Amino acid sequence: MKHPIYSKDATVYLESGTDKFAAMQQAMLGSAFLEHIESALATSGKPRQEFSIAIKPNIMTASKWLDPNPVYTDPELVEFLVDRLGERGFHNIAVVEARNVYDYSYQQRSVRAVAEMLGYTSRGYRIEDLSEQKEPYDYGGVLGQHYVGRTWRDADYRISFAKNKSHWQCFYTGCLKNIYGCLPEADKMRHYHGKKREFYECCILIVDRFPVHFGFLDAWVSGDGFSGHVRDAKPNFTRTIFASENIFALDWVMGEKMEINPALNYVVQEAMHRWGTIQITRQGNMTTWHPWDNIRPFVVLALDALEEAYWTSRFFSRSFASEQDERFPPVSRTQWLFGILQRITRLFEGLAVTKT
Amino acid sequence: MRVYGLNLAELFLEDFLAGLGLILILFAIASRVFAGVFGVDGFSGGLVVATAALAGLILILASTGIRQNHAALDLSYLLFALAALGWLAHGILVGSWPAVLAGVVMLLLFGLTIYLRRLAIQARFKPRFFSLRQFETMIQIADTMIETNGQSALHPIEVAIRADHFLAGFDAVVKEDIKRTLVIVEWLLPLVIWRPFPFSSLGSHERRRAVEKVIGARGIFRDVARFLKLLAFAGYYGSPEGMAKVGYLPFEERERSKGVSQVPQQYPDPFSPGASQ
Repeated sequence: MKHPIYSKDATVYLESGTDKFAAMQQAMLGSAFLEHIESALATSGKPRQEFSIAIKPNIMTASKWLDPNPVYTDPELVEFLVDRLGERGFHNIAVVEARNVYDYSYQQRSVRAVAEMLGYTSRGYRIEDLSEQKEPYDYGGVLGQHYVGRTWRDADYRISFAKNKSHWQCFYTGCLKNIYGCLPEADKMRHYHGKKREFYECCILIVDRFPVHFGFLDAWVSGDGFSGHVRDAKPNFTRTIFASENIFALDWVMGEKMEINPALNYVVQEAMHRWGTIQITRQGNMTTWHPWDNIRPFVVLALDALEEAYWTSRFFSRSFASEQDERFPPVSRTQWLFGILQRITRLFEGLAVTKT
Repeated sequence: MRVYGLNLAELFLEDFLAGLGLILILFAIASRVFAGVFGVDGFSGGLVVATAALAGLILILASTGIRQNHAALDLSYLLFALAALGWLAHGILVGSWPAVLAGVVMLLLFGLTIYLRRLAIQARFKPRFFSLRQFETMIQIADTMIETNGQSALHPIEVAIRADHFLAGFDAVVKEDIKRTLVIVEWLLPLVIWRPFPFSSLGSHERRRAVEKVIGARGIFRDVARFLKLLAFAGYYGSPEGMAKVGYLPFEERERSKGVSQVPQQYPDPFSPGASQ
């Protein structure tokens, strides 16, 4: 099934440097991002002030503020993007996220609270919690009659601003998987995982139904290894920003930089099955990351099998959530038990990865 | 980019089968060297050892390309199951616990190989109507029945997916007949050319031979040939790409019909009260 955005040949821009804001500015210039959004505005026929833009960074996987930060999208880069949009007269901007599986273990983790912890100021934009604005929507496919966050649904222009990091469910998580975070249910293991619906099917379904017009990838500091998506004791200073109008293409190139066959990533594979193949032009430094630890195929396969059962996947989610900022109290007093499990896991993490 | 390149489960399965094959061969040698421990001195012992070694060898052969060497894969699974059951039975009969243990471990590994193979097919196709085996049969039917001299508009996998989605989209009693016919095609059709392998494991020429043989046949197999044609053509020519390939232009895209209203004509119900007026 051809898609007007994702089935089109695309260019992916990679900007490296020593200053993250300069790299971001160059990525926006090189990819003609501002021209792209102006074109979308013209097509919409809406006044500039009403033209709504939704930016989806990676926020909710953060458990605490980090410096350097390999886990969540850099808030300073997101606000840099908002400022550039503001200079162009776009003021209807929302930064969106939905709650996630950390709610199994910790309380009061609203999107606003976590964003505030990370340093989001709400200057020139709103922070919207998609879990608080669920609207019925028929996705068809594996999700069928489900919900969508109102702000994401109603946006005239959607941007996925992901973090460059590994993930034990699919080798790595990029701009496509980032949109999985827009699915509004917090209990993601119950609603979007399991035998009847795989997370990558749900992810590609929402990306298909609510098209993302542009993607950025914060690869300034990156997370690798077995648990790179939630914590990385040794962050990788990769100092690159990716940009593309096709997030499918962007995620493909992201895998190439990690020296992984992108087609093995379940999310990219599902995208390819749905939208077909495309030609990608790469502009920038395509040297693979080094040092970089990828997750072994066996581990991805085994964990995919384990998470078929809800309680197993829930247990693993809790195990990974054993460290948290003090402002979010644990749900139960036994959370420390999961901390022990996490320490044991750390001892064996080396066996689960392979080096580039 | 290759849409249907090897997926993660298939890659792992290939490595796993290669490793498993080697282990089985080494185990067969070791068990013969320590024949007293495993109780494999006699004829039946030699038989289970040979079965294990042979299963190992065919597993390695299958691992050189699980898609291309489909027949080797099927045979290796069969031999491995036989070896596992053989070791278990032999161990019980001669009262050798190491042999029983070997049989149990082999059975567990056999279960894992089955699981991995199912996972591999499921990850590639995710069929909605067909079972995993039936879906494989459907792909080979599409590959056999549609002759385009390399100019095919659709890959056989896509034809199978379209047929699968088409059949999943409606309810009909005949759908169960379709499934039954696919079972016949998979397991019985190859026997008409004396090949005791599933239809989906045969090479393309052998599949074509089997089909050609039943086209001229009578009775049930003639219906099977018609069924194969119907199923493959529905998937292929029912697609926009297949239609375009044979020059079919949908009504609304034809020059003459542009601008023509396609709203269905509404006629009054002739049986409603007052219709005669």
